Amino acid sequence: MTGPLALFRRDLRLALRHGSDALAVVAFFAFSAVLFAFAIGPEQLGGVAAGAAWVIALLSVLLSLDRLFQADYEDGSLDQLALAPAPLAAFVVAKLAAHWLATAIPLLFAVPAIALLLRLDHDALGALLVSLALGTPTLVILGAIGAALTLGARRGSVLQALLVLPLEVPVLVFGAGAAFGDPETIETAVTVLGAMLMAALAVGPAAISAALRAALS
Amino acid sequence: MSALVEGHLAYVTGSYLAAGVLLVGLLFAALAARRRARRALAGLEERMPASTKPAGTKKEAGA
Amino acid sequence: MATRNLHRFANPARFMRLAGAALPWCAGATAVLFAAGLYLAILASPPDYQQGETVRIMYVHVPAAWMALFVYVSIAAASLAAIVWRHPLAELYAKAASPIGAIFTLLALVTGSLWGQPMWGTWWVWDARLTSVLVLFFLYLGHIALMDAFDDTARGARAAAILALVGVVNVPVIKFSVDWWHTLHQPASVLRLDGPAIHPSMLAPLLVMAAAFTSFGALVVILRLETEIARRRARRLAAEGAGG
Repeated sequence: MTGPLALFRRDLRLALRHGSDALAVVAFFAFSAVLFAFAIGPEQLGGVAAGAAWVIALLSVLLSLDRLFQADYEDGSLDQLALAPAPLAAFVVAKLAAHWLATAIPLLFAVPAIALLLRLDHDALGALLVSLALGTPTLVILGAIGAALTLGARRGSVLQALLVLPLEVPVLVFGAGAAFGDPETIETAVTVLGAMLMAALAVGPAAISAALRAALS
Repeated sequence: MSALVEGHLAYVTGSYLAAGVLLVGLLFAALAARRRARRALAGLEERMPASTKPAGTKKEAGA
Repeated sequence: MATRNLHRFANPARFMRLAGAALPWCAGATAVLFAAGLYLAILASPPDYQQGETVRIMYVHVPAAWMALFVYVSIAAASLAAIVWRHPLAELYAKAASPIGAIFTLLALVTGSLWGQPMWGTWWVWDARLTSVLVLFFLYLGHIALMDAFDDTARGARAAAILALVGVVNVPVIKFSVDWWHTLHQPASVLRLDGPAIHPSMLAPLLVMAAAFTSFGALVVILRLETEIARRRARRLAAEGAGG
């Protein structure tokens, strides 16, 4: 393993080999929609469908990031990455890109089925897909900040959720705002989602590598 | 006190009571924690033989 | 090793001498400011023509909300100092101030709720400011929990410092998104919690109460800093005693 690109390929290959991990996230996503149907009842489901889909997508992404750095931390490869000539942030970006491809893309493929279960209006499906495609990378970056900060903590995953959920409020607001597909607001919402992704890309990798270094020291 | 007697008396007094309880509680908790920490520190310093006492622990001076 | 220890130790020690001298002044200022502020807020200011007596809740609610934000920003500034210059006192400040900020945030939420009941007939309104404060409360809870989540206190402090910096970048974004969400879901005609325009007769009690809250915050920060420094010194003594 030499550069960030090699890490990206390794992580992607690992994710494909253990396809059941991504499948479990998709299954969680789908069954959460079923839970919504059981809790709210099929009649009123359509009105909340876009928002519900966004909430369960957010939770699925957060859940998938639970042990993002754990294996690398335990087997010492994180130490090697920190000492490598390429900056740690580059490795972080590679790892997150691989994770997004391996878990968020299957999630997006499951969205039409989820929309069906939630009785989402057919015309709104496009807006939901676009907003999720733009929003999930930001969710992956924010969740990874939480995963890096809680590395080695007692009760890691609950703490990670507590740290990350308040930070994800803006993504949810504009994501769901776009997904409800009101023609007057959708343009603003999509623009802001894109801007938040840019900002997260600018700040996130630096914050994550700082948190990883704090865990290693 | 006439200002408090009319209008939505309960909500106004409730707010000031909540502020009092929270802030006074915070102050007393901080005072109690400080007393406990200082007592523990004094106990440790007493038990330590004078020869092994590191410089600057008895008084505040660190230089 | 010895010089590093000395450096870490000397700085808080000098600060503590200053703080010890400032403490009585701070306590006196807090008492005087609260006396004046409560007099102005409860007795000397007129009821609002629109909100009646409930406007007096504002003299607690708004300073608490200000302090909630101010303390968070100060924690972030201290965290930056802790990360960049490894300043030992900055790290201690973040730990001392976080629960204080959380209490101010909780107070803003409770008084906001007590304001909502007479104003809108409900204990909770999804008002833009209250909602932002609610999210801020959870940012505080996360910060406190993270500081406490590691057996190694230094590790917890580093992680919490990074979290505070990420959080403070996020605070304006959260505010912006909540405001946008609010316009999306609620008619703009609703009376906002900060009132229409602040009348001059409301300004004096508001500012004095804000000063009292600030002075109170400084007082408790000093107390908690003294506590933490005494604790660390005791821990070091115990370690040295055990190590021979």
